[in-house]
Amino acid sequence: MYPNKAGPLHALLAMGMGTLAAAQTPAPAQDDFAWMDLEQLSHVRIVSASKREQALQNIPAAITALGKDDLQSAPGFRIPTLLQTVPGLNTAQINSSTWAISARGFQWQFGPRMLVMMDGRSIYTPLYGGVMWDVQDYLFEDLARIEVVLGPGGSIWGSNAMNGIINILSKPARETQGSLLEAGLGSRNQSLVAARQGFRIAEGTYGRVYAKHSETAESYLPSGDDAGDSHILTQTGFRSDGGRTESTTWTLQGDAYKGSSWTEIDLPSISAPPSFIETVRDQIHTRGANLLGRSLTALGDSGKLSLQGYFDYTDREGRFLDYTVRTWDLEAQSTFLHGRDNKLDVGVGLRYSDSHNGDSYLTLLPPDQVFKVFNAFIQEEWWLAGDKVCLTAGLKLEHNSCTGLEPEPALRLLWKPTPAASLWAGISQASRLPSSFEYAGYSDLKVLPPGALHAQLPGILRIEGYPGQDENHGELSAEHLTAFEIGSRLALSEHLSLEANLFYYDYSDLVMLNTGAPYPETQPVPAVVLPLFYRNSLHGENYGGELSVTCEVNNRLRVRAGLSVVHIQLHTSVYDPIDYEGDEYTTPRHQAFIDLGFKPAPSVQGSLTLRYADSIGYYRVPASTNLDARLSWQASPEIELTLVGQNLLEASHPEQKPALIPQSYEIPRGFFLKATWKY
Amino acid sequence: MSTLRLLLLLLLASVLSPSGWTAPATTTNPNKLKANYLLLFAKYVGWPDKLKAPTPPPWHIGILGEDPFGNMLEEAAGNPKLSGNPVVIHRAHSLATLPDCHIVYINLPNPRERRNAINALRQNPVLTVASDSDFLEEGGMILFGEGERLLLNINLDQAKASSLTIQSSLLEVTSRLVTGGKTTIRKR
Repeated sequence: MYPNKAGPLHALLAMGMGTLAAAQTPAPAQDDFAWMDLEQLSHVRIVSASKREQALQNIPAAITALGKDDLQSAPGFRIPTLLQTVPGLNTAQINSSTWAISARGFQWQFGPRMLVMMDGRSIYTPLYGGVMWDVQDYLFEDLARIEVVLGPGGSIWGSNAMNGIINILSKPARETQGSLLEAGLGSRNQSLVAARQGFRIAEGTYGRVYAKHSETAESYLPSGDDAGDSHILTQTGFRSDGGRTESTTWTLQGDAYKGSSWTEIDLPSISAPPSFIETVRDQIHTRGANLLGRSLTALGDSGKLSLQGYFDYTDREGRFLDYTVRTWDLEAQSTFLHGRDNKLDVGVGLRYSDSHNGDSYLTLLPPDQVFKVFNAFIQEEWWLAGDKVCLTAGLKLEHNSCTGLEPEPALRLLWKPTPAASLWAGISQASRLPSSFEYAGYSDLKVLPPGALHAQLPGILRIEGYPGQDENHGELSAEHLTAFEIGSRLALSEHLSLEANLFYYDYSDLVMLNTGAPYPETQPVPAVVLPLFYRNSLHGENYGGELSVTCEVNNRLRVRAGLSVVHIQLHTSVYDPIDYEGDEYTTPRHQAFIDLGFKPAPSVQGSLTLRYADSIGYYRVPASTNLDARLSWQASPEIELTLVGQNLLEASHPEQKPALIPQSYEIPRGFFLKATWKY
Repeated sequence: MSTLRLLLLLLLASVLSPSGWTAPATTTNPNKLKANYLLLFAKYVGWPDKLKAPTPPPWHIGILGEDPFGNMLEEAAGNPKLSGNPVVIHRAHSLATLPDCHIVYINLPNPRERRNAINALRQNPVLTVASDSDFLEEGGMILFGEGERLLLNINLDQAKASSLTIQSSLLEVTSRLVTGGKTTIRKR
């Protein structure tokens, strides 16, 4: 056995004295190593200092991991198309480049109450609490996996990890050596060109550089006209990993992108009677860059210390939104294995971001905002009753410059009666911080004709953010969730496995728009303004579940099927001008998919995916059933050809509508052909 | 304040729990486990007699590409518990300069170079081992996978095609086994 030189106490002290001291803890000399026989060897645990790197069977949460096969079968060029067959995840495309993705409800472009991370970097937008999916891209071949956790993960991931977490992870540079060229062409302006070169920098140190240029398929307007909104994105980046010895390894990576698209949007305008809607062509320019460094240092034989820092710059310019945000983030995390199978994780983190809002429909007052957060977390996994029962207790304390201290505890229990079966249950609390727009947004939501608010004058519904100067409106606090979850995973045979989850969520302090006292306005034309403020006056329940089945019929056929149900009920005691109590209808209540993966010959593989989404009453989007199909032919070890058909059952269909503005779009049927050359 | 107190209590509980002080079998360096396995394979794998005959002792183990093990293999080789026979370790960056070996650990990250090496070694009774996730599909025999523990993935079909036999006790600890064209995954 390996001697346990660095116990948890030793390592905690080391952390307390500063991370440098911990990093210098000497690795054990080689002669400490005791050689083992086969039986002993297969039981040795490897310390991996990542927030979650466990066998799925041992995770007491509803988690789906998309691996190589799933990533290869994407029916599109952009990341959201990879997420359409995760049970419990609600994905809907709004137009060519905009998506509403959420877990277990709140499928909405703004504020889906979910955290998304890319290689440890948060891509959650503090402006509206969602993700700008149009600028999240990567070379799919260089993605290692995508993990989707349904339910709260606040005790580790912090605020905003409320309804779920998506973790997108790229491969280490060592695994992407060699060259890759990719080109694709499709209907409705779809195109793709990508290249990657992997190389060895020094002994044990590898790197890669890549570039990807893609254009998404144009959507339709309900009139049948082209929306002309295809989105062009060019991204380039690098990743290098090194550290010859395992005592310290490091990663340095970065990406930069530039994109643009046109969209037709209807904006409310007091100067455009009688409809009071001004249709504008909005040209959106996006650009951004990020740089991330991470090191992993061994603390003796049983602990690891991870240090990570990143900078992210995101800029977006257009009529609807003109916004720039810069984020600096630092974190240290340690993992210690101790006892028979126990594990302790501790970590601290700091984040600072500043943003600037330019002249656009979404306006912030004041236009410059600063956000600071400090957090610390601890989590312990205790294995009891041999390897059969695991109790996980975790707590994250987060102090932020908006709402102060947010404690996020979680308690989870896993029971593994046999290696092929596990049952788990969890109680956790999570919070979501109000977005910058909810704090300080200033935009006209709607202009009503005379007669609605005032007999002679037009009325304006105006979002006036958080009226800090008005004591009567009180403080805007974080949203809170207490979640109860149970789940099970069963491998019924070598070929058939089953997973089922049930959840009950109790939401309090949800943010909604309240009305203030109307006041007159004379410029630019006389009108009456009904001010709207975001307040924590909504609460509700959410219950439902997911069922998924995977059947490996044989080496040539794999069937996956999933069904998910959400039922959200929201309540408020205040006047509800924009119908939040109907918010339950922004998510399809039922969703289902069947995915058939087949491999008729060693060099040919394909998939057929049938997806069903229930209607969305709030947006009057009808239920839809659609089919994606893919066929790949490995012409040689170096060359692969792929033909994809998207949304085959209908010429076009709506999936979801954009937030705030009354536009709607329809997602088209599409085809594309892609060639990949690896050498 | 009460949450802070809870945090401290949790910390104390985990540190002071008696189980915290029993010697755990843990490592931060999976390469140690891999080196250990490489030596053990000599015990659990059978080579055809014609290869055994000219060289009863010693075992020849080759590292093709960068050596991730430092002196771990030499140390393991000195341990009589692992192998009764002497072990000779060879290191080379190309197959042309690597002497004939019983076991070759292929550390070639470039898939094309790796496939070429596998194809060349397949002609002889050589046990091929690597840590690259596509290794079994590429025609390799034993793949080390890393999870909470080091996972052994074995392509028995390839081993048989190269006239090697693998003892059942080694097959029992695999997490993925390819045999008869069929892949079996064992939850561990």
